[in-house]
Amino acid sequence: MSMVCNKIKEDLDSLFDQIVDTSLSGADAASLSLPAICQAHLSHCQNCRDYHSANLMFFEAASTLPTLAVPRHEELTASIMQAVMAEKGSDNYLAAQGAIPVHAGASARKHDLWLLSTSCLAFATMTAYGSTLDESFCNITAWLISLLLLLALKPLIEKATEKEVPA
Amino acid sequence: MQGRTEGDIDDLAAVKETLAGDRHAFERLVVRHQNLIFNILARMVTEQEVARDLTQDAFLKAFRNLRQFDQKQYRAVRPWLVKIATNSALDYLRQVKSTVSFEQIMSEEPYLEPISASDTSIDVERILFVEKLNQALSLLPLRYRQAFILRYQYEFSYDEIGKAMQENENTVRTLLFRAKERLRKLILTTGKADNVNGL
Repeated sequence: MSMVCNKIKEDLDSLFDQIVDTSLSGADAASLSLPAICQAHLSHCQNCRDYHSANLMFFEAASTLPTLAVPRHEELTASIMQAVMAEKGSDNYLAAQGAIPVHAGASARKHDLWLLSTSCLAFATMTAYGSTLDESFCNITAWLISLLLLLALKPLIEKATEKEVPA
Repeated sequence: MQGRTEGDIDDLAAVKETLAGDRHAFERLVVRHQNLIFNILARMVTEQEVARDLTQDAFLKAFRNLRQFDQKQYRAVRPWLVKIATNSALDYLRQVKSTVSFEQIMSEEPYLEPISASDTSIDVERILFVEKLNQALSLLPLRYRQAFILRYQYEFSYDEIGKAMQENENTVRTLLFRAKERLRKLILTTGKADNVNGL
């Protein structure tokens, strides 16, 4: 096979790709014009002519290859959807994947309220306890200790309130 | 096939809606693509009931991994679904106890016996050719068969096939070239060409 034949076959392949990409067939496919150089070569090269006709024949045959009907296709759709719906219960699964924010809208507000009230309660309790030590409610040391304790316990409080509020 | 079709656009919308929590939107993807996925799987595993089970498995995997669908990478949902289905089929073929090893299935020369020759009547030439092609395809190595089917039966672009098969476009071109060569040989050896002299 000559270098020319290889080059012509490359050109024929690109033409063939054009046919496939534009979903042309039959006469439409034939209407796609070959470059003059290809035509000239094909007129005297049996090998390349065969190659080209084989390509066209493959394309035509492949597009009419039998396709199988899905057995009980409606049942299959239903069965897939049933599995999808059953997947890890309602939408918590997608939420867990990050698709849906867990604390959206009203739930988020409720969660924040819980966090704030629990924190305030803890802060007040600790300050009150601290102030009883020297019987002065304005004891600055008690306030500071309460604040530090609150900051240290913040992650625990957050975790606890998350458990209490339904997602 | 580079531009997005209406189906492609609705697929992307269905993905978005499903991720937003509307699982019923996923049904649109199932209805639109189950036939394609089933047919591709049936070509790979040959048993229809297995292909049916794998189709269900593929869609479930797609749902579970929906967030990982990268619109920029895939452009359309179809090649992504085909990739998932293909991987399911390959997993199945790896597991199945068969007289033919997985390496043999994937190898370049699993079978070489020609297809039996049959009637060469001019009237049925085309039908026979399609039938022979169908038979020859079943003898092709899996990757060649898959590339050929996606390209010429379902008219996937090279890019889409690459995404579906996790290969680059050049490899896809090579696979297709070799697939055609192999088919040509398989069909030719049957009846000294039967009007398929060009092959």
